[in-house]
Amino acid sequence: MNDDNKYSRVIESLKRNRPILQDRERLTDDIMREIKKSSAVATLPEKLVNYFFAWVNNYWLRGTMAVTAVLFAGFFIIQQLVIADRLDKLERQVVRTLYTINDHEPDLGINQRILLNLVLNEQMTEDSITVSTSDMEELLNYVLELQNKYGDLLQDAGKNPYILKRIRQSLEESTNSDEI
Amino acid sequence: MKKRFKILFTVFIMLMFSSCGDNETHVINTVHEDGSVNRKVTVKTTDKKDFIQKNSRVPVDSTWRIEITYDINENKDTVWLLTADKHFDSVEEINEEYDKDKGSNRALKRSADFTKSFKWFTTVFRYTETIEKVLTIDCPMSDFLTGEELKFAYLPGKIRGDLKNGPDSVRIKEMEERIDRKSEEWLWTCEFRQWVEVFYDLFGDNPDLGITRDEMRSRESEFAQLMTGDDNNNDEGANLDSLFATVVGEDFVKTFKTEIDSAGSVVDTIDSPFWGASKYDMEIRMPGRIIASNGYAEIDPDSDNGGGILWTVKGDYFLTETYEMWAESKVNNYFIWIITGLFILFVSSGLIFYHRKAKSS
Repeated sequence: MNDDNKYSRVIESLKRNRPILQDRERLTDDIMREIKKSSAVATLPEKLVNYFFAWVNNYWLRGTMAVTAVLFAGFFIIQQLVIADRLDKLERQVVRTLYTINDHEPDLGINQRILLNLVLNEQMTEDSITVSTSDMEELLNYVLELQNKYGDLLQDAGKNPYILKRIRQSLEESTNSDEI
Repeated sequence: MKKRFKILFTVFIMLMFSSCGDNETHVINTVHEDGSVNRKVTVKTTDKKDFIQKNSRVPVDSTWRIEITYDINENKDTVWLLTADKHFDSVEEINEEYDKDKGSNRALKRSADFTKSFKWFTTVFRYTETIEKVLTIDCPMSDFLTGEELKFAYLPGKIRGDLKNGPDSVRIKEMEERIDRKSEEWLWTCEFRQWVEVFYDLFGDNPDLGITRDEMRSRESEFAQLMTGDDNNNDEGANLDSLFATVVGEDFVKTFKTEIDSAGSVVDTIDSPFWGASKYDMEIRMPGRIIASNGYAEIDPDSDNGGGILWTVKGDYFLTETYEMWAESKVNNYFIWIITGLFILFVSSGLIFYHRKAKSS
């Protein structure tokens, strides 16, 4: 009888001191979501995603994969930078042979420098003259245009040695007659 | 000694003339990704005798596909053009040809090497043509020439010619003369240094020598200056003994005449590949994109030989230092790029998936 009274008193006491819920709705939602989750059946894409990305749940595997990916990306960037640097050095090797032009016109592109070098070489064997920048640019454009035309002409000739020889002869003759 | 220097002088003068001669030998090595090499040799000359195998500067024999044509130059001379090409499955085959060479450069120790390294995103190819040094002593050209002079000295003849005819021609020609002068001094220094080494290796134990190896070495610059001096230009070798005697002492020459000549003969044998070497141009074309080289890019867009890296092969370059002509190129492994890209994407997606999952739960 004493025991019954004791339990009754405890229950009465608990009933009197009910816990106060701060967010009753959230608790309901959480309970409902957990119930739904356990009862819901995963779809095939979800299963596939879960299967492919199962490794992310393993701490060590996740870390290793992430580090490997970063290393690959870093290696790629470094390798490309090294190659770019070596190419830059190689390009300077070409420029070094044309340094006299490089000193005067540092902004000129490599192709222009090569072309200018060739044009100047031709001139220097004959005479020493002074040419203005605009005249030189115009001359360069003409040379480029002529080179393109000459290339087309060679292509049209089908690289036949006989035809090429005749073309050269013809060009030389016309140049000589122009000079006369 | 006198006879030896007479011969050296004659050969040196011949070399100087031959370097300006009309034999233009150009070798083009087109290297493929599998290590095979297409070798094309063109010889342009006014003397058809240059086509004889023993005069060939690089090994060319009947196994090559050979074509000979001719043209008339502006001086109305007949210019002969030999074009020979051959496919080599590997550089070992080229080396075998070098070993069996019967041409004018047969005494040179030449070799070719090819390496292919897989570097994940790219594959790097390296092709090297090496000529072993002739003398056994160290006497680098860099001790005699300045950095600029050294660069100019190593320029291929074609590029050097362009510069000489270029806008800065006076300075270039003056530099070339200076280089020639210094080169001669360097050459005699090397010869003397080599002779000293051989002499003291053979007879250094003789207690009557009176001059130590180091003392003799210290006289090399005096000897080189005497040999290149203006007074010596019109000399026909008559006072060469006295020049040598001036440097090492008359008593020494008289006492050790036999030993001096013996050492001289040994030096003759050692440096004969240098004196017998004939100049030619080497061009290497690599698969993919060239990323590094110690050669010079072809700058003439009209040239049929465009696209490669150029070197000139001549005795000065390998007298005291091994001469290595190398080029490196790369080919991008795009398949690896795709695989790696997909891997990075996969890992990134996995990490995003993980973070979303963690957030939602």
